[in-house]
Amino acid sequence: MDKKFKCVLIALIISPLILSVVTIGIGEFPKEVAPKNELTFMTYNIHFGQGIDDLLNLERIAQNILIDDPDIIGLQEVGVGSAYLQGVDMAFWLAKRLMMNYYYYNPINNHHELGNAILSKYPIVLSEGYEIPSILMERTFIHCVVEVSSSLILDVFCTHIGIRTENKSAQVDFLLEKITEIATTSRQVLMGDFNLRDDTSEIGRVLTYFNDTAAEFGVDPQPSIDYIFNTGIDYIFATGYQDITDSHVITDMLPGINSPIEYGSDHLPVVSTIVFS
Amino acid sequence: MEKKSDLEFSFDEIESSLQSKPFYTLFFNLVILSLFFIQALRVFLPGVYVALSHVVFYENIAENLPILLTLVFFVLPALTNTICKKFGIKRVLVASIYVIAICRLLIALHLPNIFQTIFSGITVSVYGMFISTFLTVWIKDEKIDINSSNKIIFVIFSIMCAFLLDYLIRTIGFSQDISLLPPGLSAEFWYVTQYVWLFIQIPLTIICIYFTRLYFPRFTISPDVDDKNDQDKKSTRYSLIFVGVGAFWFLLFNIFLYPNIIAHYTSTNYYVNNILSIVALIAFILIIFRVKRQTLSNIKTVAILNGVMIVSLCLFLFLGRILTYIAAILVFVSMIIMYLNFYLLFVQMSTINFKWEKVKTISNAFAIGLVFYILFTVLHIFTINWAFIISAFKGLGPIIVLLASVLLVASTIISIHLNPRRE
Repeated sequence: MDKKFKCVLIALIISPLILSVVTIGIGEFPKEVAPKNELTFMTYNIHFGQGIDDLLNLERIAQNILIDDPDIIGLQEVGVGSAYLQGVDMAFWLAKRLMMNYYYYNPINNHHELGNAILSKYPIVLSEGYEIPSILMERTFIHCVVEVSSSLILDVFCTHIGIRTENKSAQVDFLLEKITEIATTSRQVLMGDFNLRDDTSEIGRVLTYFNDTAAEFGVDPQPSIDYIFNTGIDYIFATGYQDITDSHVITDMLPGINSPIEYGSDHLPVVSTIVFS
Repeated sequence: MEKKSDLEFSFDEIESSLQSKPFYTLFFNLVILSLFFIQALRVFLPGVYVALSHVVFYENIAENLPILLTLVFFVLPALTNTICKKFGIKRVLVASIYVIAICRLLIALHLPNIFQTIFSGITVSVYGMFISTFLTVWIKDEKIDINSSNKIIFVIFSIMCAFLLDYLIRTIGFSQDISLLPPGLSAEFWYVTQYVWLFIQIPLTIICIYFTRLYFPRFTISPDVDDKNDQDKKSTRYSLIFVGVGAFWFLLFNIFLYPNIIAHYTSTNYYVNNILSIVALIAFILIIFRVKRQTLSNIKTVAILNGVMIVSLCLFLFLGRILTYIAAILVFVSMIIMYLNFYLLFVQMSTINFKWEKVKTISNAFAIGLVFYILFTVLHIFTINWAFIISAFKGLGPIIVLLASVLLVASTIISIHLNPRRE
């Protein structure tokens, strides 16, 4: 047998192994970011990485996120490794791609369903996932304590409330009770896809605990998923902050192009910039 | 690998029998076409899944039904024999190589979902035609002076090399092979970066077609007359092999090909599982080179190994999060046995005669295997994402996986047991 062919064969067999070892070193380190008081938050239902053109493309999601380069992100509909997602662990993939820390949680009995994730440029010092009482699909919310600096520690929550015949009222009540029970600081941010209009009684109850950052900034509710509600159902709520300096929905991913290829999901990313004292 | 062991397998033997250029062309084509098949199967499912979601939730039904119809492609390999009778087996073989190479190129263009799903479906089904026609001429060509066992090892080795290449690509792309990860590229050009694979795909397709035209071995086979006389009376019972192949595809493409999901089930590190998965594949390759087929297909050995696999899978599926790294290692062991089962099924499929001609035997195995793969995958989806539709299915995912594993084990053991020429 030709020596060159022998070398090719050995390379073919060994190189995946070598590369799999090398990537451990490459992939493990989130970039370090200087502490600051003004933080950009994003909530984004990524629809398992499938855009409105139905194509699966996580790089597109990453680029949609990078438009505002948020410090802390709440993601909903995050999948892990199933065949119809090409076997990708989406939270892990996006965290490595964006060089961020992350925490992912989905219902234990239902390995792929409707997982949520929080990605943070700052260390996540405590993380926990909870199941929300559900009738149809198992819903969850996650809690992360993010240490921006020794003097600025935040409680960040991310959730995805049920749809249609689900008892959303009970889910919101459970969420608020649990937050009251587990919060470690007075600085709290609650993000997620609530599947609720801003004029519903459930959102009204959330507003007894938190402020809607978009309303506080003074912008009208903007659609974050237009084909069902033509209104916003993705929110960033906060309490214990000093000021809101920005709040918007990212609607234009590729300037000058108006095409389905722009959108990585059927939802749009919602962004708020919050100043903490 | 190269030196002659008691197995008497040698690449030199194959190379000298085929001549250099045809040998390299054959190896390259087998590896690359198998890689295209793996990638296409992975692309196909998300396309069908999202279309099925739309139909289930009554969204754009008219647009999405044609995508669902692409599932028919998976039955097409069963027509290989009919097509071969009309056009000739060698023509079908060469044409299938061209079709796969071109369709994979079209997938890399990132076309709309419907086209992407159609082209990936065609790639998968035509690969079924390719492998059944190729195996037939490869095994039957008596002018090629290689024993049948070594012929099969060569084919299995090539397919496993494709799986290794797939692992390599996914490792680079953090497990998403089609859109290779482009770190740090400028935001303005991000849309272009998803075409990185296209720049690799274009030369691969050209080389594949060019080499096939010039150097692909010119097989000579005698008319298919002996098979029917030689067929085993129990041939229909061998049909179980087809189910085993389907169960293997399901287990591999739903769980075991993805270190991510093993890491998730066992609360362990992705990188460790990625390394273990690659080591399992390499270990399997070394086993088929180093251990005699008689030993591997000994019914007692197979039964013991499969017993170990079932116990390991039970521990992984039901106690994975408690056993963590122990469960990950058990998966590693199970994967080696799973590959061995596939190898043994492949040997049975290639060497025994069914009531049909050999092309039909292999193409039917491929088609029925794919149908079983789809059935199990859909069943699995109903136990997870769509469990709310039929609540009785909720949480039954591990049971479905276990059922597929039992089918794989049963089909391997029974097919060996029934083979009158078993070693």
